[in-house]
Amino acid sequence: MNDQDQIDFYRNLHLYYKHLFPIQMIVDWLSYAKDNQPELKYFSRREFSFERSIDGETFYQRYQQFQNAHGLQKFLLDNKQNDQASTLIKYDIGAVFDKLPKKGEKLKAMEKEIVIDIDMDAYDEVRTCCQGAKICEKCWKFLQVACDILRPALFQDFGLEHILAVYSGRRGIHLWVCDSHIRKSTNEVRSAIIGYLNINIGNADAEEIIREVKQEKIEKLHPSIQRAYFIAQQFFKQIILIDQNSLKIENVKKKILTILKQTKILNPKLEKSIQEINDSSQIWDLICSQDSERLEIAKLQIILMCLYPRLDAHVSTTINHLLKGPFSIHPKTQRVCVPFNLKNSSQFNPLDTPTLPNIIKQLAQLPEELKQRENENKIFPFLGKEIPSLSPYIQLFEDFISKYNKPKIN
Amino acid sequence: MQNQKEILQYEAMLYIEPYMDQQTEEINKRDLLNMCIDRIKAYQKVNQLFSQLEENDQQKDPLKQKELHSKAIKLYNEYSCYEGKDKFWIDDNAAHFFLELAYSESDEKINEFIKYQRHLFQIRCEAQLENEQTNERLLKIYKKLLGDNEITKISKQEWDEDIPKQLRLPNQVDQSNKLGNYVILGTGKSQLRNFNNVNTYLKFFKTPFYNVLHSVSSIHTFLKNGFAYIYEDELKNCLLDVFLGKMRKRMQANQYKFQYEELMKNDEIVKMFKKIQQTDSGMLSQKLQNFEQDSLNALTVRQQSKDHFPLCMEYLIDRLEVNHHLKHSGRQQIQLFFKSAGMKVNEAIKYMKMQFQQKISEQDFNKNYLYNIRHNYGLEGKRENYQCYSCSYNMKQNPGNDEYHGCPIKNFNSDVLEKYLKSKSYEETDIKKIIELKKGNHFQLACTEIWHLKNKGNQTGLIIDNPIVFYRESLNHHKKVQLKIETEEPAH
Repeated sequence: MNDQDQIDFYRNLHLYYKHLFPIQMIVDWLSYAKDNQPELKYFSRREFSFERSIDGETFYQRYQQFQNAHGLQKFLLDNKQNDQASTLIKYDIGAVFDKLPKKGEKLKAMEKEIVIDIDMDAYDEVRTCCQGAKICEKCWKFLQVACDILRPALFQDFGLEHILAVYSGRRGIHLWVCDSHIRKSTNEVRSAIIGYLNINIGNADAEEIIREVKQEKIEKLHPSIQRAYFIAQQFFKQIILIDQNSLKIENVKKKILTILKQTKILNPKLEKSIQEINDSSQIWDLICSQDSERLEIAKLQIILMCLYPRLDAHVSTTINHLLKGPFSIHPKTQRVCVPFNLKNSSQFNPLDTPTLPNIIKQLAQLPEELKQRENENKIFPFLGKEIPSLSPYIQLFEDFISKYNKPKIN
Repeated sequence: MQNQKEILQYEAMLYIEPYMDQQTEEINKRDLLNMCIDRIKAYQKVNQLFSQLEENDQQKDPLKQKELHSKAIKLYNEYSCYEGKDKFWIDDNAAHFFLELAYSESDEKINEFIKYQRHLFQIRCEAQLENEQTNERLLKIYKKLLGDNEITKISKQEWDEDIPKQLRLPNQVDQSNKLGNYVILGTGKSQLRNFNNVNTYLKFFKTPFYNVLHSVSSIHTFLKNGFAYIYEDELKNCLLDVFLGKMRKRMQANQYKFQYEELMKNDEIVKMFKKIQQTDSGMLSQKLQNFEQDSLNALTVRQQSKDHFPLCMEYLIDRLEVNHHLKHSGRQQIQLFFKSAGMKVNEAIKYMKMQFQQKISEQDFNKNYLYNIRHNYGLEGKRENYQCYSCSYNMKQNPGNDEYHGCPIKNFNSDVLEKYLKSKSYEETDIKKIIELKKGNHFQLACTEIWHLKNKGNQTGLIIDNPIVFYRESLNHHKKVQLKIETEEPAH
């Protein structure tokens, strides 16, 4: 970014927080009004933290807390810190503490959503289209498989109901699990859930690639692993063999050889062929043509090695971990961090998500009188719904909140 | 004695609080302290006993496990903290509860105490439930711990409707497997068993998943709608987690209690706590003590790694110096090792910075990694006195792509291990020996072998259960050799 871009970015951010950031909805969401009486000050005990740029340098402000949307907006729009010009870059959501969070005080974290975090760069070893923080439509399919595998595990196995899926704005997704009993869970419960959802995929030097699979027959594996296999294999051909041609990658080959060796399928001829061939479909056909009782289990291991969701467990397992909240602007891509429909992740294209310059342009076309607030004690009118490229995501978020607070009919 | 309630041994272990208030007055403080100190001694001896045996061996061989348990019981009895007549259980509870308080101070201490307690509880549990034919007693304990509705037997209807008898993949049309032959349920080892008996369901229990965390996280149990379905023999293992989980919660809650703060103002009590902790750290092989030393610093890491580090740390250093980056788990492992090895925090920062800076700017380093190092050294956040990860922890790791933590002897496949050892110029015969040990799952023995090769010396009875033991013993050995050379030199 050159200087002018930087200035524009900061100016746009300010406008965004003023008119387009769904402040009241964020407050409504995090108040969980169905579970919490107002006198508990549930929302106020939530830690917010912020990344702020002052004079070109970045600062973190931790342990901030707010009474309501007005307080939060006032803080977001405050562009003077100690008489220096400053801009708020992004906001993070932390835990709900036993008392109003303040730096230096002994605080006990009481509640926090469990957030499942998947970053695209965890797939670097099996993707060929992009690397690192880059993402394209082809890569998104990896995350789509991840969503499809996690969904039944979360909804059916754990019986959860309220999950907000958010695109992080760059290369990953966050699944905010908001069910009331989950928010209250200890770090031990968090680790156990993540342990259940995760399988560890060993690296190319490993003795075992997938430790969770020790059986010789698929039918004897845990149902969640069988189910994951069933889901992943429907995508395997398109993503791994065609789109990515992943099996030509050196480390993937190494792992396949380890798997075939462990399942006693490997013979010198097969090993030589796999090392020589660089076309994934051919390699796959060759493996599938082997005659062995353990072939199916080897196929399962290879497919899960390529496509099983790669969670960043670290983010989910500690109750007071901070994470970028929905509708932040990703500072690198300037994309809005928007919710998507977990049940329909194939319809979501991360490259179609609104960008800051774009929505600010649309904002500029709206009449000025819409942008005025009644008085200083009110928040600025929320105009996100007037912006065509933003409004569907706002709608999703609104639906999520109202579903949460809807009384259950038994 | 006021309390006429019958004290069942087992329940006494579980239900500490009801006795606490009534009985503390009657227990002399000095007696209480002595009991606590005896317990700590017993706990540590048992702990050492367990750590000498490799995890794999224990699990595989029930006979060996039995032997281990009877050895442990003998140790506990030596310090009279295993079993006895009526009054014993009151003392037992008092001492236990007092120790809970003494260890509530920080999460690290809590973990330490729970580790001790795990062995005792496991052994008592085995002994109590050994000859139980029905599960009534077990269930009773569960209900006491969790509440009546938290665990139920499953009904015939649930068995028929809720439980998948077999999952079928569409492309598998295998008619020989009759549906219902296998039942996919919590059977302990993430595998299915053949349950043909129509009454099998009577042996299954249903409980919310958060009561059986270990089974959940290791994917050992069938889950539906937040409930875990557990087979009877798995239930026994789960009890341990429930009990220890309760204990952990209770201890963590102490930290925030007003009464606890008041207690900590009482000089006499604080003195007692101190005495207990001194016993604890005094007994441990030096590894839990903090010390600082100058010989390990940013400039000597490379050489020290070659001469004195265990393979797991040497490998991390190698990768760090090639890649100029390490992922989170690798950084944790090496940084906590640095700390426990006595490297000063500024040296650790300097070294990591030197390596990382070849790829990222100093500003980025400070922004992304500095806090983490200081945190590991107990200088940020909760300010905990973290320790180097143990071998058993490292062995449980399964490093993924671009990750190099864990125990390379266990995690590497034999070919890779052989290649790596060759690159370190070990002799063919030595490498062969290490690989053989690895193949027999004797990872810690293989590590000890490497210690002997690095130190060109022999030390019988060396047990490496933590990378830091490898390092300390290697340094000590080196010093001894140096001293010998110096003293043997003719005086001028």
